[in-house]
Amino acid sequence: MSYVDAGYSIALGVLFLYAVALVLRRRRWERALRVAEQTEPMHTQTVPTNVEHTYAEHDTHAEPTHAEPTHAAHAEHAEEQTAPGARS
Amino acid sequence: MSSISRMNSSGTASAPLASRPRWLSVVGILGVVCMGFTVWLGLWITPPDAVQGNLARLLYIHPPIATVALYWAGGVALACSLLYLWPRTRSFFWDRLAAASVEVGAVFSALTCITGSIWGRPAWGVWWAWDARLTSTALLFLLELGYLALRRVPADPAIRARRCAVAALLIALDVPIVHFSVDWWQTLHQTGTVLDPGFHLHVHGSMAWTFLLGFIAFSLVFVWLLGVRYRIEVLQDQVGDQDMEVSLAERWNEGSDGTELVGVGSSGPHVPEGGAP
Repeated sequence: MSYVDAGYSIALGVLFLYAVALVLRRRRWERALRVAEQTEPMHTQTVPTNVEHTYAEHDTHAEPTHAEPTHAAHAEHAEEQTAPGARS
Repeated sequence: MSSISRMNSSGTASAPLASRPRWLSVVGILGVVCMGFTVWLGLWITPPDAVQGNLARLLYIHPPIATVALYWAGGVALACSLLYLWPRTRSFFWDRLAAASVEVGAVFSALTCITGSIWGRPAWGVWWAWDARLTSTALLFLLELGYLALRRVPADPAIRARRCAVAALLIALDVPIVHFSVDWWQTLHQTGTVLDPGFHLHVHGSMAWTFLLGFIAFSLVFVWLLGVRYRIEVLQDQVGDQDMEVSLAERWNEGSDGTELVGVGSSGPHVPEGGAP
């Protein structure tokens, strides 16, 4: 292989590999964002919108009133109520 | 947590996943087509050089790669960093674009050194010489690696962006040194390859067209790589924001179970930065 062939092969090969790596990274992060967006509503629906006040002010037995709980949260709560070891 | 880090750092976290811009795909396709023509013209169509013979064919890719590494990547990083540091134009958009430009620039800087070295071995008889142009280009590559390492240091997004902007200014300082090194010092590297100081062309005919096409091809490829890399930066920040909201919610739910939690309102959870999901 001549120096010219080696130079072209390395330059184009490195650029090609870097481009493929970037596309794969982009796909992985897009997938991660989709997963995060799917899990995020379940968690955040039960969180009061104002998180600035301290946890001492929060009544641990009361239902959050700032946001509507999701169906999933309702189901989870119902399970807790009926489970044998559930807290009263 | 500072006010700037409390805000949505991506600016689009609550928005649905944005579609990929079509113009970027067009640029990528054009870049590949131009690159194909450059290789075809450079390897098979243009005549051998009167002095260097076939070795001159390497010069259809080496100066364009160096141009992208030095002027396009360095220029974008400098401009974006200045725009970030300037309070009136401060935005994470500029920070992300600068980071993308430095990473792509590092790849082109490495290729500049490699292709130059491959040309230098038969032309000069050595793979490497501690010549001013070669050394300053290698320094540029190391500075870019340093920037990328600095970016991975965990910190508040605003602090990280400011640090990186200052680091990009240091990279930019090296660019004129690389450019003028062949004029300021006696170097093994030749002076202007395509244009002389009076802006007169050194090459003509099909060689000149191949040169021009090479510059266009590598510039288009740079823009495409920059666009894709920028999108990754946006996605990383969006996932970081989502993770922060989930962590906050989890901690809140733990608190509702009777666990004592202190200081969520004052410090907040750690925002992941750039790590793999």
